[in-house]
Amino acid sequence: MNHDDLINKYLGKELSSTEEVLFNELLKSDAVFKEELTFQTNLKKAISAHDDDVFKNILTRAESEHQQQKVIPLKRSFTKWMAAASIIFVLGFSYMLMQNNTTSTNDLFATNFEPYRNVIAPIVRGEEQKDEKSKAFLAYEKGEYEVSVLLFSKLYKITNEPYYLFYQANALLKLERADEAIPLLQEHLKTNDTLTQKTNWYLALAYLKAKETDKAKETLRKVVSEKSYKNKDAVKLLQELE
Amino acid sequence: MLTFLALKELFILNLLPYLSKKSMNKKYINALIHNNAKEITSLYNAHRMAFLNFGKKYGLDYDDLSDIYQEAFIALRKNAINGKLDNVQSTLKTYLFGIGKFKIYDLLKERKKTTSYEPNFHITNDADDIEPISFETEADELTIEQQLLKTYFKKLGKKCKELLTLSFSRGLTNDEIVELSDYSSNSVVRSQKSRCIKTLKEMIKS
Repeated sequence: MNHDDLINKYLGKELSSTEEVLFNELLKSDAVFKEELTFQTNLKKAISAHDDDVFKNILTRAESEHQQQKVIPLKRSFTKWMAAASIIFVLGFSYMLMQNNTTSTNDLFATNFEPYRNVIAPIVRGEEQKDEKSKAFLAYEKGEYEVSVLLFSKLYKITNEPYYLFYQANALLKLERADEAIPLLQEHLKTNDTLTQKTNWYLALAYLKAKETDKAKETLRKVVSEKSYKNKDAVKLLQELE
Repeated sequence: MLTFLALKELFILNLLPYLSKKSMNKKYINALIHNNAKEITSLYNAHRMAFLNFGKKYGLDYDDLSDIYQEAFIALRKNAINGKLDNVQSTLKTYLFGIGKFKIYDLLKERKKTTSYEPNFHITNDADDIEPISFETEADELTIEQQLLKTYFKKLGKKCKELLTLSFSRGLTNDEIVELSDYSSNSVVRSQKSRCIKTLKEMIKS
């Protein structure tokens, strides 16, 4: 029996007893088989998770239709309609004001943020990049931020190198996941990495993106007073926020 | 008279089992497994109100109950994929409510632990005849390797995604895939599958 079929049956819990003997034998003696098995087991998990996501989205959509129906008032008297209309107007107006406010912090973030360049593992074109570190930075440079986030996180766990925190946070910011970037940057600030003096600038931008304007300002003031990376931009940004 | 008796016998032997033995509609099971949005939405809507009313007597609020209702659906689908629904002797609704009830108990137990609040209900005195159905919740999150694979998987072409989903997530054999799709034979499925996996591996390497 072909190895792939054997793995297939194993994943589907369909191995017969003779096949199971063969399977266990291969697992012990054949490293390639073992590697393929690990790969396909992980693949099964990954694809199932994706398939579950699709299903959950169907449920969420179905549920949200009920939630919307709940809010629609069905009373028919004119005064109630008027009252409802005025409430909607007020809500709509304040929403517009809020939107305005959020777009401006969003705009400020977008004009000021740029993922910090890769100074750790320069990519040499045409050279075969095999190890995970180069792979992570290559993904970062190519703009595949989701992949780089995962690889940086893994590499940080293995090596404890602080710069992975910094770059993972940068990639997360580019993906507009400021909430996840903030704790990483705070952690990075505690280290003595060569990049640490650049961290506060990115932390300030992360706060800005997360709409925590007060904390953003506070952090920007630190950038200015410590004369660290981007302190001139920090002055400008502070003026725009005041 | 003879014909009447014969008919009666025929009824008891052949039809009665179908009438009395409730079983789950295969159509629903397949809709759940294959993420048929239209069918799933209509199933979801069909029992939602009844479930919210059913859960209300345990003193849970609307948000809790709609979360539990969704979780019960997720568990239902898991069991559909594992083939556990094929031999179930109850209707989908009863089964769904059974899982929901188990989840409700779980939540109440958890709340009892964290607060000293004593809810005013008695689990033992349930008025309904729904048996709680336990299910394992898979708490294990994806490892980083698996998350990476998921990211790359999403970048594959539509055909590959469909094929690998049928095989890896929904547990269909190659023969079952042939029946369900327009692949002409088992060996075509097999070679297409290994081509898709190869593409995925190349994406990871590059």
